Amino acid sequence: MTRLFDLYDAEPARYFDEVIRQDESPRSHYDILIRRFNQFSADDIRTRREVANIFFRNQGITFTVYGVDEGTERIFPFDLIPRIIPGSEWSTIERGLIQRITALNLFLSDIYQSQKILRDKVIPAELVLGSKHFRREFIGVRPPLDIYIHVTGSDIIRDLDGRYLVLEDNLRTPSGVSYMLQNRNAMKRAFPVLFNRYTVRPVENYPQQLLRTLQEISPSPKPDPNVVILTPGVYNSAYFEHSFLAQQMGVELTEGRDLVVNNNKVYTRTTRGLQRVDVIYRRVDDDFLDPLVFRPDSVLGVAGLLNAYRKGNVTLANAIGTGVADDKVIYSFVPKIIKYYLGEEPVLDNVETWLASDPKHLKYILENLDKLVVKAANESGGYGMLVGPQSSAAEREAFAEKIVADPRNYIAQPTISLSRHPSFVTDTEVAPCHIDLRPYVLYGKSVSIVPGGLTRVALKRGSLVVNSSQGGGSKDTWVIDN
Amino acid sequence: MILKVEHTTLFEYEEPIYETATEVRLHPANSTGSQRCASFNLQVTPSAMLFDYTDFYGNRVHHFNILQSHKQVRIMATSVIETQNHTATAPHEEDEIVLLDLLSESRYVHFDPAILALAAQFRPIRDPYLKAIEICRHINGTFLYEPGVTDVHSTSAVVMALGRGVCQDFAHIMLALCRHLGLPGRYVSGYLYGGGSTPEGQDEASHAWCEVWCGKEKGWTGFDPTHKTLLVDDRYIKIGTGRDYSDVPPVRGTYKGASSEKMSVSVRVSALEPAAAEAVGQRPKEPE
Amino acid sequence: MLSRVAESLFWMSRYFERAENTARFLDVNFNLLLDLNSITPVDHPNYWKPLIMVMSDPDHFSSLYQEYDAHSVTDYLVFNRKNTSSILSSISMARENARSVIESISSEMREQLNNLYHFLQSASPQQVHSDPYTFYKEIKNASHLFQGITDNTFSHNEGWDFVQIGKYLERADNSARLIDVKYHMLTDGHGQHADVVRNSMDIIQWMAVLKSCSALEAFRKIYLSKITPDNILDFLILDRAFPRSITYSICAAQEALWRISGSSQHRYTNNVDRLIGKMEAEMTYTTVDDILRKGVHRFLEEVEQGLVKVGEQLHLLYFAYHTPKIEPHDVSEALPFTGLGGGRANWSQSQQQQQ
Repeated sequence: MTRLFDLYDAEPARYFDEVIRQDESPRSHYDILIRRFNQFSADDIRTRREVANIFFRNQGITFTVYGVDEGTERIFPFDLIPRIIPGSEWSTIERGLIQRITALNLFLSDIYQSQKILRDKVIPAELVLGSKHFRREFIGVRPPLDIYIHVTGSDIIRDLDGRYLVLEDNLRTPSGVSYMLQNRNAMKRAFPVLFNRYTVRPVENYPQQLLRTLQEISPSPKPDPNVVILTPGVYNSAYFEHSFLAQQMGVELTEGRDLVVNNNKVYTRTTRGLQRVDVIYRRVDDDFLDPLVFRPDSVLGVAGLLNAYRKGNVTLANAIGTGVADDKVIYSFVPKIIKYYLGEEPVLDNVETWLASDPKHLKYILENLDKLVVKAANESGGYGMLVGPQSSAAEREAFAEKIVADPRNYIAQPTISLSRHPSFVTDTEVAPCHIDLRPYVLYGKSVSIVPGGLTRVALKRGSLVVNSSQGGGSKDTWVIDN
Repeated sequence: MILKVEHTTLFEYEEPIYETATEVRLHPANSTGSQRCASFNLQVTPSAMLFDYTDFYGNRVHHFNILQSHKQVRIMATSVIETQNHTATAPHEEDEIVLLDLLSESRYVHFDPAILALAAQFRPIRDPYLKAIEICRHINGTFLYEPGVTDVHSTSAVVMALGRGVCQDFAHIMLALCRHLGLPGRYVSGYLYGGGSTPEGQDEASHAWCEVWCGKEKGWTGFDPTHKTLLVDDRYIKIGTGRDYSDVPPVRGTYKGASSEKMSVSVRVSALEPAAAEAVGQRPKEPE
Repeated sequence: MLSRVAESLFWMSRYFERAENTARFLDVNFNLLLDLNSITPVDHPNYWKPLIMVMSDPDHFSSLYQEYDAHSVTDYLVFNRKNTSSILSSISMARENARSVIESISSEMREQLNNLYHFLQSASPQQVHSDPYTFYKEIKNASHLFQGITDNTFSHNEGWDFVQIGKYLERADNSARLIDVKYHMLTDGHGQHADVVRNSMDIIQWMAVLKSCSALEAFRKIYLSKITPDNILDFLILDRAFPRSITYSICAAQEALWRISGSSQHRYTNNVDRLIGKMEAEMTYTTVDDILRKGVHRFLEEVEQGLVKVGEQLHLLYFAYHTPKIEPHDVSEALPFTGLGGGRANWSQSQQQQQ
């Protein structure tokens, strides 16, 4: 009988494989896993997949696909083979993220207070002033504990040498943490024996940690502050996550219309009258929070909310204007930001980045369009980008025009070949697929990171796109003690 | 001069509406060097609790909300201001980042091709003050003042295409030209005494002009492209400044309910005898 | 709980009940026509117009169709989305409300609502005409199944109570409308209602009214075969045990309201409890003679108006935000604060600076 991993071709010379070394032998922390999977027959796999699928379906774990009639709901594809990160590697990631998030928070605090980093010309002021997400209206408004980015999720990839690099910081409303939690539940159900063979660090208390973080930033001294989640509503693609987190934390899931501001304080409308709200974990973008301030056409927000926030009567998580720090142009300055505020070398490196706003970089970008990935500074989810090696000459020409017309809005990076991990590409066949990692960082009185995160995987053979909106899936991520 | 401003905004609705939330930017600037606000009184009916804060541009913003259903909202601001011709002395100081920020495009101020083409002729003028006043003179001389052709949301591009507009539009054009030519400029919301359509100075709207940073020697200088006098003097009452209209709208608000809305505005600026101003009270008053 | 969630549960339930009642009326009408086939031409508008009068607005109907007949009325009451109380519209609205509180209801409830919605979407008018019995039975069963699922998968707390209130207020209202119109029709032209019983055609019609409330068997157990208008009125309006009678529905709504507020028989804590308590007392101490003396139409009209008032106060108390200041006597001054589409803020006009 052919065993599952017998046909696995890692091509370790061309790619960094998470499981197989350069010399084609398995990395030791995967030994047990490979042995276990090799014992499974095709039927075993099918049974276990069915266990996982039933779990996801019963939990109603779906995401909404846009552009289809009424927003079709689909189950987020889940891969049965977990990704394993040894504790020693994890501690580097953890150290690197704590350093990075601490520095980015100091950066936000600085540019929304005294703007020292701009006066010291570490970052050209016009790049910050020109960022779409810079909210100059909130300069001088200091959030509780001086914390801006309470809930974040940076995307981490590995290069050819297996170095962990930060690809993107998501400092606004990163999603996916519910998949991290549910993937773990599904794995425990489908592979109880394998799970017990490893000492996997738990992720299950994330909702409690999140709630504690949100309570810590309450403006009110009362012991049990009222925390609510603000969702754009049932048609939002991450609605499941919002309702899941509300359930897990035991807080109300509110829409804009559930909230009302009266005399500069925020309330929920309940069957027992108006109830004061202290902290809002908002999954609504800045622009849509308050029709009085940003977008008059917004139906998602609450009129007067930002004045209540300004006054300190309610805390928003994350704070207003954090998007300026995850702008892809500002991203390229993060190593400098870390050095400026902490006086340290970055633990985790950035991916090399060229700025179209810099004339020398621009020239390089335009000359090497076919080799680079060009991204719009303020877009996310894989939108507004050009993948050079996969583009046509006409596409490159059209994109070059866009870059020249608005250089501030574009950056370029080399096409990085993400590391690969064995994943099921058919019911019974395992092949190497590209993956990344999104760990979830919480910042209340201190910074904490759940050991693990969401490993996203491009389940189409050869594809580099891991976004759920574009055909990606995910796997459980096990951080193990060495 | 000692001037009194009565600015009333009335919103009327056919059907009851509810959950009004409103921000008001009507408090005249205080201690700017050329004016002092002796008193300010804001009255809202139906009655509402008033809150205020000072925004990023230093403007005093008042806000309130009304939950219960209502069919009209009346906002009356009365202020007494003492104005004088520019007195502050050089050198003037301004934050470099603020100046940098006031060089870029903003919601209503765009560097569209028509602006770029027009800007070219002013480029040779070296002195910032002379450059600004030439721009001001040009707008005053070539654009036609005509209410009703533009609306409150017209951008500089629209106004360039029309060649006509009102003070708000001309201020935006002037800001676009100045900023594109490297002169930091800001939008000013305020009132003009004696500029009204009736001899009694009634039924006026509020006024808008701009201030241009003319270097440390002259500092922020007010230019009014709408009026032939071009330069701002003691007839001008400044409420506040911002990048453009959207930063300093006199009244901005939202409400819920399905009803058509009718807005009427009346502004009355009158000169007081110094003694009368004394009676009103010298100290700035908290709004009631 | 959040007012929006309570309101959506209330309307989800209310719309579902409305769809079921519409199906009942149509079903019985088809049956009635089979019974009457030998006596009178069945496509006579008189047999179809009352349905529109009970369930909807004749003026609106006339703006869309030429005549009252089986096809036009069925189309209007079952499929037409322009008719906000058609079965399809009702189920769509029930589904929309359920969607907006998806995390609050059980997945089985959601699934059952979706099943019915998809069944209706795939149904054709042809199918209804060729086999109305099966079609309407499907809808009635779907509604019963939904109620059963709700009772057994949804925690019996505040949310469930709002579901009950929605169901029973709608049911009481529908029963009142049905009796009102049928009574009017059957007594009209005869002068004295005493003559009515002698007319065999009328007995068939009265039986049809009972059938549309699934009440024929229950009625017979009490009154044997004494099918008289008085007995029928007594049963459908005042019976305290039959679950589709008006009194039963009002009592059930009252119990749910009391569970929410903690009110009791002798002490009410708010206006909605006061109003429903008043209605319940009136129903309890009214006899069928009282009703006849007052006039059936007037009596039922008062019931309907009473239910509307209860609905309004319910809205003010639980769905609109509530502060002691707001207890408007004039309900038109109170506006929907929540619910579908209730949350959009309008942008006030801005004043141009244009001197």
